[in-house]
Amino acid sequence: MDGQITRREMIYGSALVLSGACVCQVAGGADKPRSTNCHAPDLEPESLTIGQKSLTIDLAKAPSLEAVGNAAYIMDKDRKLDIIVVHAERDEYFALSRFCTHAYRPISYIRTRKLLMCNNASHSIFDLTGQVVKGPAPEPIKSYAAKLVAGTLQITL
Amino acid sequence: MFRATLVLLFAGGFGVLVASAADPIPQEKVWRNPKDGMEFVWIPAGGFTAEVLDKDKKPSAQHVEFPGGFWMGRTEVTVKQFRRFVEQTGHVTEPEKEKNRWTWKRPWFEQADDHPVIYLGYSDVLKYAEWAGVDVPTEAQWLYACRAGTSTVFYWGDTMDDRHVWHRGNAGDATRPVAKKQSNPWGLYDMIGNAHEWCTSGKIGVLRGGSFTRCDRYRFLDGNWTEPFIWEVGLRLHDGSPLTQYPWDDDRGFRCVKRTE
Repeated sequence: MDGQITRREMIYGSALVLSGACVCQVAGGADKPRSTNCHAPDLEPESLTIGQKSLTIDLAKAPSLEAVGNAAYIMDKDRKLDIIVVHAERDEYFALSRFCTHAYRPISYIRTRKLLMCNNASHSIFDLTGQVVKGPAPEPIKSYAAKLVAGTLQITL
Repeated sequence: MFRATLVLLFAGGFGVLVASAADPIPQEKVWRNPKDGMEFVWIPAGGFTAEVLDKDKKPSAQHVEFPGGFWMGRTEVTVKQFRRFVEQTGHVTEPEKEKNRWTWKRPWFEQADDHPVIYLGYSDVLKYAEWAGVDVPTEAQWLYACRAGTSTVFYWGDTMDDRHVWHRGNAGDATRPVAKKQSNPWGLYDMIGNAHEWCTSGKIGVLRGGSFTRCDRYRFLDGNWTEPFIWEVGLRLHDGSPLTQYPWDDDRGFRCVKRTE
């Protein structure tokens, strides 16, 4: 028997692997929208309430912003809204214009550096307050006050 | 017996994989520059049809021919190679002279010796080439070598393929060691992605190939998706107007061609 895997060991092993995969699936939220270095998913519209001079995001209805390090776009042509919301740290969110001030291209969130990068060749880089870190962008990108209130993110426009 | 057969099959399969992932280039097809140790591969004679703009910015087709072929650096010039150049010549780069916050010695992310050297202006790459006894490729040479006789958008096909390119989506936020992705059919590595490459266009330097800062794809303002690397390998030759892009940056490197005798 030495060196051979028994039927029981095989069944236990398989069960362990399968349960591990299931746990990873749940913990990792494989089906949840995730931002990349080049793109952010659209914020779930059902999470968003648009006021005259403010936006309210019900975070319980916004899986795209659930994980720290994720970002989501808010785009509404009628109301001229083009915003990127970043979940930078636990209970810390930022909201900024999603356009670079240099080439007017979308910006993306680089989670490893906690910075925003323009998607064009000159790739201007901004911090989370919108200030230019490097690159040819002539001015900061517009940032909006974002406050966490009882499970909602309130953004002042 | 069964186990032994499996091992042999696995080993055989691995051998095939290794051979196809990094086909060794016959030694007679490689020239090593004694000055910097750079390996050059032979780019066979041939040509391609480029697009050029006339005075009125109207595009027209122009056939570009390289009747004798040429040698091109297998990889982008590395940090280690550039350091040797600086140590021997005392060269001070454009960003250093201009007191730029970041330079090739002090990039804003960590770089190992085998990464492509960055933060260089066109004059810096010309100086390096002069020291190494080689040339900076012309834009047409670069395009011809990059396409490697293929007629697809990229030398591997028409859409992005992570096996060939370091881009923002897979490189993260820094350069990567040279020659880790698959080469093009003529044995050139990182022609697309990793570092942008300075080329000569008339009397000015232009950039080709895109870099690790380029997105593989992103959604444009109108909602459509775009693959910006397509622009980096486009066949339209630069019209000679000065480059208005940021002159030196964290993704501007180069490779060389051997001087024609």
